[in-house]
Amino acid sequence: MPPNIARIKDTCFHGEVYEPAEDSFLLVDALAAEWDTTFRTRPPRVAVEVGCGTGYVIASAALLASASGIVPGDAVPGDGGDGEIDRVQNAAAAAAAAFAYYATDINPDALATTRATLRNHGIADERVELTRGDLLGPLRERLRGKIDLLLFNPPYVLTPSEEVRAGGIAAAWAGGKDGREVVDRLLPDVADVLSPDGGTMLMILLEQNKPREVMAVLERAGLRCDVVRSASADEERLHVLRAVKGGDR
Amino acid sequence: MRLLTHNLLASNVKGTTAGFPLKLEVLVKEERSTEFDAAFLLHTLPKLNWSAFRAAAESLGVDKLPSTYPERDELTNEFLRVFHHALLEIEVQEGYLICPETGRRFPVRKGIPNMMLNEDEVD
Repeated sequence: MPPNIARIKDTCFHGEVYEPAEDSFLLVDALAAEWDTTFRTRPPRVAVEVGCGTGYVIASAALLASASGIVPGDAVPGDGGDGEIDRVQNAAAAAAAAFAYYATDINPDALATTRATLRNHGIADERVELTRGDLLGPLRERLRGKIDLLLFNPPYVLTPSEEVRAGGIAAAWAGGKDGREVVDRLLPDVADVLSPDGGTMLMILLEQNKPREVMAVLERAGLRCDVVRSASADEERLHVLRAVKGGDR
Repeated sequence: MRLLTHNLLASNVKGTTAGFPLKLEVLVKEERSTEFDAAFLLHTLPKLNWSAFRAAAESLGVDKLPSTYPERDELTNEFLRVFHHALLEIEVQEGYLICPETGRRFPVRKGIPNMMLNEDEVD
């Protein structure tokens, strides 16, 4: 495991919160690989994790961001706005990448656990702000076109539909029909919220969730999709789906 | 919740159009010095809704911010210090966020805003 990801011994646990498992590790593995490539010279400034659980994934993202420097001489991507601000920003670009990350969960125990996990890893509270909400809910409008990195390890287990709304820890895994009921509620917003210059979503899916169908939906919205990681665990076939908006890769 | 986050949150109660900015009612706040990072501040500034930020800062007791979005020659170190303080160093621990259209009150507890809607509030 690379050194700049969250440590299990410093990750907090709670009986009502989904524990990091093979899917979380696969997602973080794919995330770390992004930092070795695209994100190395263009670290995501704004990242959001939907459904943060114990905080293992968003803590890893924040640690990777803290450790990544902006390569000297590299242009910091501007906002397409005021050129002066971009210039001042370039001049001010310190060693550490400047970032603000956000995480949401519907489960208050998950948010309390995530906060503890972040603190255990020495991540300042203001670097990852937490909101209790459903998917992107209250952040969606104002983050339109601004999210550089969207992380989602959804409830993907195939269950009867009623279990999706059962509440408690079931919300962390119950995915309803095809395990897609929660995933499908997020999909229409993905292209909208990603930043146009390479905004990236990494999402876990099971083979039974029909990842090709999900990719087709995202591709119709103008995103480029591929599967960057696959693994077998507990008789499940897990995939990390990557969807990218614009940019040059 | 810091003002950084307040500036991003909107109410999506059924029937709202913008649901932004949320009025901020502060019951308990905490101030704590955080690392000053000019690059981050200058990156964040153009992404903020300035009038929403300024109004929220005022309800936190910060009144030294310019009333309009700062011009280039106003981006002094002194400005950035005040901006940094208002944006990142004051945390609303307990309070409410109030939807400007419906009056729906969203509680902030232990620093975390609760934006969950009841079933009858969802479109």
